[in-house]
Amino acid sequence: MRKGHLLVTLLMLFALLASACAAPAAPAEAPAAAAPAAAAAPEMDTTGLNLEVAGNFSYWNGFTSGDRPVMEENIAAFDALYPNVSVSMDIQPWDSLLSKLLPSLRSGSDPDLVTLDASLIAQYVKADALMPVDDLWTEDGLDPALFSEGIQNAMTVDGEKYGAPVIYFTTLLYMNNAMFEEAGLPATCPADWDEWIDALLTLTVDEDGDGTPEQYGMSWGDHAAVSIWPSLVWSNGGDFVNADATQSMLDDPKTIEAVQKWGDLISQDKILGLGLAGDEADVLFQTGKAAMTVSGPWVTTLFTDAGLDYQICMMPAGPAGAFTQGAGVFFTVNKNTQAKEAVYELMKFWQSDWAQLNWSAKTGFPPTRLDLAENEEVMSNALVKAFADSMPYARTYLPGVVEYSKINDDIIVPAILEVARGNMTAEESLTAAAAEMNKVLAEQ
Amino acid sequence: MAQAHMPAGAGRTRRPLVSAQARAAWLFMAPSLLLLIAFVVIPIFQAAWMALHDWELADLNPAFIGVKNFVDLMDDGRFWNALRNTAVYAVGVVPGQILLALFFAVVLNLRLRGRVFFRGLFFLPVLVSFAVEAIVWRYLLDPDIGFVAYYSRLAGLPHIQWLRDPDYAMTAVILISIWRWFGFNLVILLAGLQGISQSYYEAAEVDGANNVQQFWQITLPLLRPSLLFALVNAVIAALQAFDQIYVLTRGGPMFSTETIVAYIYRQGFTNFDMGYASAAALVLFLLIFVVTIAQLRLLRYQEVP
Repeated sequence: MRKGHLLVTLLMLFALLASACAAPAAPAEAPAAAAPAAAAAPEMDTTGLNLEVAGNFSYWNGFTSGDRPVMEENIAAFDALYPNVSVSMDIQPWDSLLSKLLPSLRSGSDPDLVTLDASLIAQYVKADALMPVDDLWTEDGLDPALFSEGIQNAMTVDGEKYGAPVIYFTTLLYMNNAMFEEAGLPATCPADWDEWIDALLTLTVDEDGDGTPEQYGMSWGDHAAVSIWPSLVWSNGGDFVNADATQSMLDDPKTIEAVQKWGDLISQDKILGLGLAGDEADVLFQTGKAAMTVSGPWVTTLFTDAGLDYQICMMPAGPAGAFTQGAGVFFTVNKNTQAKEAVYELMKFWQSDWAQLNWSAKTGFPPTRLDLAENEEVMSNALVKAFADSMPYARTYLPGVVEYSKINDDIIVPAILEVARGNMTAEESLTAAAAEMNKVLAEQ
Repeated sequence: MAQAHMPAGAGRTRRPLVSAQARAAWLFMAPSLLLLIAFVVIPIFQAAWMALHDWELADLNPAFIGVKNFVDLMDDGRFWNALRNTAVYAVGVVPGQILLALFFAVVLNLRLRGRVFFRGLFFLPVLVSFAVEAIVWRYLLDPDIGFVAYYSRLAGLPHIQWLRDPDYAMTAVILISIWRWFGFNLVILLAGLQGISQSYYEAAEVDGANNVQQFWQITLPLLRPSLLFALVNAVIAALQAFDQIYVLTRGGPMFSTETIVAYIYRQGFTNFDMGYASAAALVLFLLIFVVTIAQLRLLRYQEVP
């Protein structure tokens, strides 16, 4: 009997240990290799590319959803075009990529090339992790004249360039044509703030007078979304930070004026609801509860599939012009990479006609190059064309700011929301926020 | 000379320091102890070390700054806001879930029909991931397209923005958390109730005690060990509330639902300020420690009823 008990105990112990030591489930992401392996080299103009370059390198990015196959296709084409180069690509969700990246920097297993959101570049430069790539941006490499100011600012820190664009996009005004017509308004893009505000006030409907509109003029996400406030402030002639990211401009009179004007429209006229996440704002527009929304290229499929009759407009012009926020993710190079030439070739290849048009056609994002906006393929797709045409008006939000998240999420957004909720005047709120922001900037 | 009563040969062999039983016990505990040391004890000391440095996540050479992080914490309005929110959350959730659990435990203990079914039903929310439940509640409470808003409007009730209104968001989070956890405490308290011998109640009836008196004089005192266990667990869980906050509101709107763990997460993994986040985590650790000791003392856990 005692031996029997001992046997059972040992078996259970073994089972426990075996389960703890079981091989981890196969990772959800594709194996770290470009696919398909047998891709043919694309037929393209290879001027400016050095196909003889040799080297192997690792590349991390976060394109896990609809654009994943296109990323894999582009990388496979690169692999096929360069017989002596092999890319080991690891695609994973952005948040796990970031949480793996920083520890990997310390352990030395970091990738040669990684795609980073523009807002993180300054932080990684400060952590001494990235290699400046000014020598890529020369006659033999990439011509700066072909890329918008927004793109160049986004990857420049302290006057040095640290990357090349993977994708760069703007946020534009989506309008529901049917809702405009139903309200007796022309279904044309509002050209300026006066037209826009008229439309917003007309399209905000509170039938039962309970203070909560049944229909909003516009929807907007104040978190997990690209903000509309940069566009509004810039269009009024204001800004958030000076050119070298040393001084806050939140207390600039033009900034205060813009925030007060739009804050009043929100708190008093309820043109939009507050507290929504980006995806919730998209849903409000998609379900016809908001007549307009501001978003990027990624929602076009969503709205088209919902059968909406909509169009995309450039942001209406304020007193200082029309501006939109540009955002994107960039190739950044590990300071310690041993395959610099091969990595540079990928960054050049990605900006080529073939790679850009392939990406644009299949993902709906505009090409990174300004000259490709005139390309027939791009022009034939109205949605892509709208985004491509807006690139020259794109500016980067908080360029060169290291503590981007702290400044945006903890200082700027709450300060603006206090005004939008009617709790404070813009002068009070933004003056206090400017002081806080300057303290953080001083520590950079 | 009288010999001491010692077995033959006792003077020549030494008794082993650790008995065979104790050795076996250590052997069985060893894997868990190693895991505990590796994943709990060492990280606590590491966190303490990080808290004394200006430690950005990507920093290869963090600077030693002594207690500056702790000093900055004391001056940080957001930190105190997070502590206040945590206290409000705990004061709302803990009595809520314990009292609700106690009520239903007493009802289910009456051996009515369907009690097994209801016990399972009330326990269901505990089984599902809180993050998943939070996603569903986010849709239910959506003031524009959610069921709650729709039926409230039909019933003529005031239109509340719930998770989007800084005045109501914490209330919503508390109610959802009570719904989620009361089933867990129900099972604990029900087991405790079923362990109380019927003879006490019979004797009390004979003495003329009514139901209310029986509840206060017999049920509650004898339920104390289970109540204490449920209470201590509930308080620790409330002070560490994170997943539902993260999914439901991300600590908003306007930081009105940001609890201390949500704040720590933000500082460490969004702002990448690991030193500061570690300092806040240590303060939380001490807080939970003090509160738990106080609870155990106040509720006299060593006394057997």
